[in-house]
Amino acid sequence: MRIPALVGASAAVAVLCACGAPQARQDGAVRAGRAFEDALAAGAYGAACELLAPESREQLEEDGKQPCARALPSQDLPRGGGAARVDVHGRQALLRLDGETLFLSQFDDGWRVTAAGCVPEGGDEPYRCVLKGA
Amino acid sequence: MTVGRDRGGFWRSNSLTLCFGVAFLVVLGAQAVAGRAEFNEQLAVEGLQQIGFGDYLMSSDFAVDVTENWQSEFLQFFLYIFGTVYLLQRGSPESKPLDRAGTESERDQRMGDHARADSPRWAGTGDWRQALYSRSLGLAMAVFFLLSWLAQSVSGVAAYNELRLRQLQAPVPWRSYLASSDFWNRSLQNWQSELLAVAAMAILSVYLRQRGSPESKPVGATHGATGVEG
Repeated sequence: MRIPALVGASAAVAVLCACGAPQARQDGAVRAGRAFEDALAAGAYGAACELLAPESREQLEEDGKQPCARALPSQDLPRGGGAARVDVHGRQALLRLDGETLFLSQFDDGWRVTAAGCVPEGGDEPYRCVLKGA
Repeated sequence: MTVGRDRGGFWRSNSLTLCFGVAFLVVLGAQAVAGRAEFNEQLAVEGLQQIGFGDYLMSSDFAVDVTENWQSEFLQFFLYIFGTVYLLQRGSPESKPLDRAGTESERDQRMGDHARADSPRWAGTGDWRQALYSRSLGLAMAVFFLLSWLAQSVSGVAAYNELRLRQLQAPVPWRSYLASSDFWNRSLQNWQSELLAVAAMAILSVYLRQRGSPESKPVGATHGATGVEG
């Protein structure tokens, strides 16, 4: 019965490792999203920029032709708050707040915002986002 | 000396399972290395954090790539075991003789009242255990297929949703994923290759030979000889 046990255990591991996201990962994504929103609300654009994913930050600076902290206010991003609904799969997350939807990705030093100011386009289309990477 | 002979006997008498088992682990490891490299290439292009080997081993991307192949292999063996009870191929060592299609008599199968002293115990119990044991090989393959396919669907939806989030798309629930092109493309592309391999084995073994292999007829056997293993 070694082979059946091995197959069963492997299948169980495959299911477990793929099933949903650990609570810590979800909490991390929510914390980073809220911190980004709090920084925007406080006008702490430097702090908000620190929470952007590198690709998104570079794109913002390239489009705005100025440093992130000066380009960010002109994006006029909506302010999010209230209860958070988060979907985490692997190292990617979708965070829905009241008034704002963010996409985040996990990096070695924590979760970072990859797209902000996102609204659903309907159907299976990608969200339309004010700020995102290339 | 006796111990040494016994150990040598163990390795020799189990060499088929052992060699393929070890080769499986080596190739699985190689798949993980190649899979991680490809996964990280995609992440790098998107400017996202690349992941370490341990994280990749626990990722849904690796799990779905593994399980989609497992399920198709177990499906292949289930279909082959079950199908060859009823289906025949003239001249193939993979087929029974043409007059023996079906589950055969209990005498032929050495079961029930015809079980022998050295038969497995459940071959002659005459109750549900005999019914179960007489189908246990096919059932085991069917169960492994279903478990692997379930694991593919669960790891598949996680990998699919991770990709969707990277593309700024909303994730989909498991039930929707079961109707998705990703799930069926992964399943069907494996199934077709397994079915091709079975059909090719059945017909090529009619005309071609592999000296010494039980999967082949003896080299000098006629093309029309059916159910003969070399």
